[in-house]
Amino acid sequence: MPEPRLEIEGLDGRYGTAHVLFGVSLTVGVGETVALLGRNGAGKSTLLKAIARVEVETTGAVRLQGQDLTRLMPHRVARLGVQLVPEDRRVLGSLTVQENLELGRHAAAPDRPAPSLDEVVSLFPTLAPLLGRRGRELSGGEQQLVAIARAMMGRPRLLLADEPSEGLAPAIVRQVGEVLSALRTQGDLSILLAEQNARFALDLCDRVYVIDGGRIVFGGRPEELRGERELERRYLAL
Amino acid sequence: MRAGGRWWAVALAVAVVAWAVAVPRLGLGQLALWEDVAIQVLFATSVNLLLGYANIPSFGQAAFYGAGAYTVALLAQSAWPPLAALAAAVAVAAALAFVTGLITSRVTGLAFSMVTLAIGQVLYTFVLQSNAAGGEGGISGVAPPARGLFDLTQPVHLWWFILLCVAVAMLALWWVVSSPFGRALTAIREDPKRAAFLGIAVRRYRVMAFTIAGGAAGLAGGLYAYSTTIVAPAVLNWTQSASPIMMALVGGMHTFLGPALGAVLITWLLYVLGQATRAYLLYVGVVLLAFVLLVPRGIVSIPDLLRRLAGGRRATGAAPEVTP
Repeated sequence: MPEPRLEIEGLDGRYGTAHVLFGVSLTVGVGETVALLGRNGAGKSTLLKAIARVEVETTGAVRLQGQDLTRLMPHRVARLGVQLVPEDRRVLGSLTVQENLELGRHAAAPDRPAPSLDEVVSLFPTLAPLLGRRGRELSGGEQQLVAIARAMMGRPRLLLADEPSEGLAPAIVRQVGEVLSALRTQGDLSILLAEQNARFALDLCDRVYVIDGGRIVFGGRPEELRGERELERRYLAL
Repeated sequence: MRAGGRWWAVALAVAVVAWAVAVPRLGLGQLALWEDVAIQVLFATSVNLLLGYANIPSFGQAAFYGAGAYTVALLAQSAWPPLAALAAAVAVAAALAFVTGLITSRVTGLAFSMVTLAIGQVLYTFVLQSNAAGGEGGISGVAPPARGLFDLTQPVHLWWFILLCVAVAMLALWWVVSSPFGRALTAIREDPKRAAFLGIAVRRYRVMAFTIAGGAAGLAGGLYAYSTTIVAPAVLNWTQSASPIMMALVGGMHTFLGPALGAVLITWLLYVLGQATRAYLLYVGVVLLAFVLLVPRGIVSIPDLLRRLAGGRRATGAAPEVTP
């Protein structure tokens, strides 16, 4: 197993008084793509937000290459190299695609200088003709690509992708899958991919966790999960 | 800047220069009016940096405008050169805004507006009671020394000086809103949470925006002191804070030139109606109401609205959809 980039130990998470994560432990290695599978409401998005320090109150340990993240503000976590691509994409409607992408530079750091716009657009060629278009004028698939590309502008160490295939047409899902596959070869980027679409995620990942009711119920290699018919039936609806 | 934008900028610059030359021919009364217009253009644009670009609804901007005005009035008594006095006005107002920004950085929404209003009123009351600031009567006879490139005792020179200062400040504000910092403010306005996990230090950026807007308001206040030659506590009152907000609403927030257009219209209307009737505020109120109801996106949206009207009539004959 590669050296751990993200380590989570005994993480509990709460939205106000609602307790939604229970003793979650997992790791993501350097350069590794890890899928986090589970049904709707299982706690996938909450876990990603807890790592990025957004909205969720937590107890337990979240470390990025040994550095504790649990007491940091969200922008500090981002500047350490953790980029969240949220479920709702959150492309800024009044800004152009280029301006949206350039905002991603704020997460860069001296040891991780921001890539040039051309460098990122070469990874997302579909965006090249859209650079001057406003965010609100984009389709759902285009917004998803912009959200991922914007995260890449901060040259992240860890990309947290929350259901990138959700609500997209099959052809666009394939395109997003190709982009994520290409990103796996980008340096030592680690990806934690939260998905309901197990088939989409299992084709992309090195390891997989299954979460249900805020608890990790499986951790292993994709082929091990494929053999667990009961798990697939109960938690993934495959 | 795109080619169309460059032509607009050139046309605007030519119009301003032409106006700078034309206004002195209209008489002293008109000079005072257009000095006020230029000053209010800067003040409204500074307020729009907060309201329109960063969604910071401050009701205390008169504090910084007034701080700039009083700084210039006090330094003029010691015959400070105008540029140095104005630089001091910017520094004092920006420092005051920085402290206010820090104090209010953890508060948002209506509570934020109320805190900024309260801080402004505290300063107003302090100046009202202060002997050094002239108390209720304020400081009169504010005049720059008659030396240097511009002899500001000459009304025409003063007009050109004010216009030049406003033009330079507007260019600086344009540079601010067009910079990565300005884009980050837009991101904060649209989605502060998203901005934070993109790596933008939301609170720090808000304080920086507050400081820059405060400094620009201070410059506007300093120019006001030279233009009117008298500074009274009323410049610090909350009504002074409301006026640039109305200008931004009428002209169009979220755009750079909208508040400037609103400032021109409202200041001119106040002058013209003030000359015609004692009930001028009533008529100005009606005009404001009409704008807010009929053109909610402000003057800048009128060409778009007319295009939609014409297009809608040509296509279907039906009433066009107006985006609020």
